[in-house]
Amino acid sequence: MTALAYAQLHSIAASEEQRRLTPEEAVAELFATAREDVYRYLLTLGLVPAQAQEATQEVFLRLYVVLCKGQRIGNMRAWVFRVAHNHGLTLRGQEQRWRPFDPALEMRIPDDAGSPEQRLIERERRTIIGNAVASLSPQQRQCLHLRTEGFRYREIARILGISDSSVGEFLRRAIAKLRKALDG
Amino acid sequence: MANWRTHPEEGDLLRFCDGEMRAKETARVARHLEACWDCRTRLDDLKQTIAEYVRYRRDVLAPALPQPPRPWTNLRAEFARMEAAGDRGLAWRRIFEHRAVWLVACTLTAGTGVLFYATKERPPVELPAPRAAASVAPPASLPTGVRSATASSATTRKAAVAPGPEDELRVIAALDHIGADLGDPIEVVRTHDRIVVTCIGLDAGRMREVRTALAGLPRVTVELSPKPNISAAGSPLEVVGAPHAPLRAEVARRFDSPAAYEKFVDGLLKGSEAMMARAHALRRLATRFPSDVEAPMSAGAKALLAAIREHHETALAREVSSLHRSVQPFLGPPPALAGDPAQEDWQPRAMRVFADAESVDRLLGAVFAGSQGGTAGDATPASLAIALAKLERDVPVAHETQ
Repeated sequence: MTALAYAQLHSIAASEEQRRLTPEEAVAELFATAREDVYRYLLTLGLVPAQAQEATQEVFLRLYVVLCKGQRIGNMRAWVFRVAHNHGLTLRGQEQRWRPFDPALEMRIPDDAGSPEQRLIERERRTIIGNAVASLSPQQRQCLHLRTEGFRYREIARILGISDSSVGEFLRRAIAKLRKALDG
Repeated sequence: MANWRTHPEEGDLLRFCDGEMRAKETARVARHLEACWDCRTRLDDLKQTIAEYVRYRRDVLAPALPQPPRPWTNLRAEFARMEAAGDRGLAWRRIFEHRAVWLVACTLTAGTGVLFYATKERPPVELPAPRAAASVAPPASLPTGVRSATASSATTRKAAVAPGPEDELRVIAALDHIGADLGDPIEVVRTHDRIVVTCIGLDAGRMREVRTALAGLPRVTVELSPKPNISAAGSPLEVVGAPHAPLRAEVARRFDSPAAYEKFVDGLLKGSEAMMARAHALRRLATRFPSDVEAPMSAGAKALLAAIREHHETALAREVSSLHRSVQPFLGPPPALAGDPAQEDWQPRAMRVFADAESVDRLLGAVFAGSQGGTAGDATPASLAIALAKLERDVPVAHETQ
């Protein structure tokens, strides 16, 4: 059975879920579980926190309006990310500058338990991977982020508006870069 | 990557690890990995890198990201405010929440369906033959991504009525007629004013067939979705760890050569894919046309629905019988299952058939091809025999075709 068939099944199951719930219930439920994920994604696109939060809420309201108009959406979570992605890029365009989320942010490595020596090694390792992540292209970082959110290649492709094979290639290159950094 | 005796490339290993390969490719990579320490180490490195990134995201990045500056809005209150502000779409939704309005809408839709059938001039059970497409098919030169709405005089007549289940059924019947409801990347969605058929990444020839099949059906929009590379779509199998080698080795010993065994496994996986395509099509019918949607449909539409369903059931039964015959020598005596299938609507049965078929698909892969999907602990010939017996019990025409 192909992933495509699975995606169709997922889409049917989601439609069924949607049919059982009213638009209010469906959107409120998704909002409760996915808003933080969408907010974090928008931060990684370069929006400032207030802007990212407002955009997140707007995306869910847009979903509500679309559902009210009778449109059936197979995978609402993927839909929300797709709209958030486009909306985020528009907002960022209006700001006319690219703000990759604070690089210093990535350097705030927490100290875990363990011997001082272990902590040092761990810290160094995290710094290395942090630098490697910061050096990825925006597409590579977005693909990694969305894959970690549990989306399949096909869903990521739809969210970002690229092909499945490009998703595979971005992920491959991203991981190769991280591996190279870790291997030193 | 055509030859799996050579080492898989980095991208293939990642797709393998992400469950983005077709079952057949997955099984071949799994077999290669069994034999190749080098590639197994590469796969471990890959997984380790992914784990490092996930840990970094979880332990470093997530805690460091700023929290939302304000409390989250109460969305339900916002919905109420939007309604109060008089959003037209929301007002319509409120109207349609009343059952009585639905009843009238359904009656109108069913009436429209009957009218359409009465004017189709064809036996009610016959799957619809494609009409001449010349006047409605969009020019072949239309670029990918361009919407092409089919139109007919009926479109104008019925423009004010929302498309109903019977309209959707006719679209599915037309797709079924050209076998396009068996795994082609085609999605059928009913909106408030039309039926949208989205085709993702179909080649030009297949696209033409779909357009021709749907030409003449009223208020159908064929949407061509750009690019996705279908070859990259793959199996959802999450292959982790080494496959169940001893079991497979025992089965493989019964074949003259590894090549013969590989051919046998390829045949099984191909059969399993065909079975799943039918099970999926059946389940799709059951979810799109549950009993409460089917009940008010016209006699002609019900007969058409039954014809499509029986078509899939017969084909599914044939695939299951063929698979069962192939693997029977490895399974031992067939298990006795308690009880006959209860008298029930076809829809719940279709859902059960799908679940049974999914088990068979997973177990076939695990027992014979060495792939593991989710819980592989139950991947034994005995559990496969039970899954097959359940499936054959639930597919009513299975024994008639043997």
